[in-house]
Amino acid sequence: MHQSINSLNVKAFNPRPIHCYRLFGLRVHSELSLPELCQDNDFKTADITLEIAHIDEAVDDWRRLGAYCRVKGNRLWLQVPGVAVFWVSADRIVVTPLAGSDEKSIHLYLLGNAMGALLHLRGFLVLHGNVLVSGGQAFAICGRSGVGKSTLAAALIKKGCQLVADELCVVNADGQLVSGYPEIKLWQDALEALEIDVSTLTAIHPHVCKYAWRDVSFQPAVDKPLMSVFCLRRQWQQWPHSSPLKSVKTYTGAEKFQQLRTQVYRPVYVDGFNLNGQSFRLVTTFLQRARVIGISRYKEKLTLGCLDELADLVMDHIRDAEDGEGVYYAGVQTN
Amino acid sequence: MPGCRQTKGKLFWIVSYPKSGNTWMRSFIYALQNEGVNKVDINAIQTGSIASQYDWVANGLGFDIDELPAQEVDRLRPKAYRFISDNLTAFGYHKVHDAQYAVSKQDVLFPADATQGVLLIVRNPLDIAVSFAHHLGVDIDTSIVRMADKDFGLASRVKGRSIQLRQKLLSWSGHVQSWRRTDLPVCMLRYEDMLALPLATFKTAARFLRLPADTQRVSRALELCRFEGFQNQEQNCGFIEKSPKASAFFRKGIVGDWRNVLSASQVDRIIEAHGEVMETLGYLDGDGKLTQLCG
Repeated sequence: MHQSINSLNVKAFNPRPIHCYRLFGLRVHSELSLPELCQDNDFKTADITLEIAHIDEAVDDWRRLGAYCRVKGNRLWLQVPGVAVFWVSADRIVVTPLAGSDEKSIHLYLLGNAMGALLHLRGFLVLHGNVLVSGGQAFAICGRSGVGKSTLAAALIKKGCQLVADELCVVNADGQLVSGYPEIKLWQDALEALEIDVSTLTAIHPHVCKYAWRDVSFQPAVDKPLMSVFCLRRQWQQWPHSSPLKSVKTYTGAEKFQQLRTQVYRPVYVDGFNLNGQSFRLVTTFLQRARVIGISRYKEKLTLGCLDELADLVMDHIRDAEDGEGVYYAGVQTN
Repeated sequence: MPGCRQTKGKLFWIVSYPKSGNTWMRSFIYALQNEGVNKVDINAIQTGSIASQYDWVANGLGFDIDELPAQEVDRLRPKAYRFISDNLTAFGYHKVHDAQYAVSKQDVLFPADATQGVLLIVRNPLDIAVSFAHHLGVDIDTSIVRMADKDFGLASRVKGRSIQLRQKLLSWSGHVQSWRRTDLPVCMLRYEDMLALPLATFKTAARFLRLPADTQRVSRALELCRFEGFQNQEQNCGFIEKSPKASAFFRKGIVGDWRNVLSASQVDRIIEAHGEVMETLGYLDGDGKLTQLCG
C-alpha cells in the first residue's frame, strides 16, 4: 500500500540503542529516547520505527501542502524550522534534527504532526481531540486548537476520568480506540485555574509557558469503541450570565457525520495522501453508533467554576449514555 | 494614485491601528464583493481571515504553531503568507493590526512577494485615545500610555494561548511610520476623509483594491455599511469583534469626540508623543496647531 523509504539514500547517524514503546496500539522501535511514552517489553519486530538520520533526497517536485510540508504518494515531508525535518511513511518516521533544536520540541512535532500523518497513512481514524474513559465508557473531547480541549480533559481527570490520549484521538482498523501516552499539555493559566502546581511540571518548550502534566491513572490499553464525541466550540459571544455554556446539542443523521468530519486531524494531510474516501468510510463505519454532542461555550477564559460546570455536563452525558437515556441540562438550550 | 508599484502577490492587507475604521472598510469591501446582498451582517463579514489568525497561518505552514514562542511564529508568518498567496487565484483582503517590521535578516512580517497592496487607514490619535480606552476597558491615561508604548502589542499573553497570534503594534506613531516607510504599494486613507468625503474616499479605496469603483456600486455599498445600522445590529445581536472589556464596539464613530473627553494635559501628552507624525498626516499644521481635520 505504501512505498517504504528503505530504498532511499538514508545516511544514519551513529548507531543508537533501540527503545521499545507501545503507542496507539503499535509496537514502536525508536532510536530516540522518548520518556513521554510507555515502555514495552523488548520485541524483535516493530510495527513502526522512529529513526534519526539524514535523507539525501530533493523534494522540489513533491506537492506542496504548506510552506514547509510536501507530499509525494504515501510519503510526507515536514520541516519545522529550528526543530527538525520529518520524513513520514506508514511504517517509519525519519527525523533529521536541525541546528539549534531542543529535544522537547522534536518530540512535540514527532508525536504530534508527524505521528498524526503516519496514523492517517496506516488507515486509522484520527480525530483532533483528547480521549478519556469513565465508568467503562470511552469518549473524546474534540475541537480546534485553543478551544480548551486539554483543559476540559484535565478537569475531567480531576473528577475521576482516566486519560487515554491527548491531542490525537485514534481508532484502529478494528474500530477500537488505542492509547497514546500519559501526558496532557496545559498552559500555565489552565493549570492555575485547575489548581495544579506548575512548579513540579516540565515545560514542553524552553520559551513557552505550557507544561506536560502526567496522569497516573492513564489507561495504556482500552480496547473499546468510541461511544461519545463532544465537539467543543468557543463562541464569540460574551457570557451574559453565570454559566459558561451557550448551547448543547446532540447531532444526528447527516449533521452528525458532518460534525465528525470537521474533527478529523489535520485534514490537509488526508487530502494530500488522497485519503478523503477512506476518512469518510472510517467516520461513517466506526462512529455510526457514537453519540455526537456539540458544546458551545462563551469566549471568556475558563475559571475553575466554569470548568467544573463543563466537566459535570460531560459526565452527565456519559452517565446517561450508560443508562441509554436522553439528557436534560438545566439552564441551557438542549435538544 | 498612491501605490502604483507592481507586485505579484495576491494579498491585500487592510491595515490600521485599532479603532481607526478597519471594520467599516472591510464591511464596504464585503458589500462591494457581494452585490446581491441587501444587508451586511456585521458578524459575517467574510473578506478573509485576519492576518493574525492561528489556523490560517498554521495551514499556510503545514504544521501546528500553538506551542511556538511568539518571536518564532513571527519569523514563520511571512513564509505562510507567501504560500497562501502563491496558491490563490483571486485577491484576498485581510485585516491587519500588526505594525510592519523585520522578523529576520531576510524577511519583514508582510513580504512584498505575497502582497498586492496595503490599504492603510489612519485616524487622529486624539480620537483613537478615547475609543481605544473604551475598547481595552481602561482609563484614558492608560490608553495614552499604551499608544505611546513602542513595545505594546495585542494578544501578548504568555501564560496562555490567546484567540489570535501576538500582534506587535509599536506606538501609534511607530505603527503609522512602519507602514508608510515600507517598500510595499500603500494607499493611505484618513478616517476623517472616509466620514467627510465618503464617495470619493471609498472610490479611491475600491480602485486600489481592484474592486468595482463606479459611483452606483460604491454608493450602494456605503449605504449598506451605515454606522447607525451597524450600531443597531450590535445592540440586537452583539458583535464578534467586540473586546470583552468594552461595552460596545460601534460606539460613536464621530470625529472630534476627544474635545468632550480629553483634558488639556492629556491632549498635550498625545501631541508630545505623536506630534511629528500627526503633522505629516495633516492633523497638526506647521505651527503645531490642530487642524480642522481634528473636528
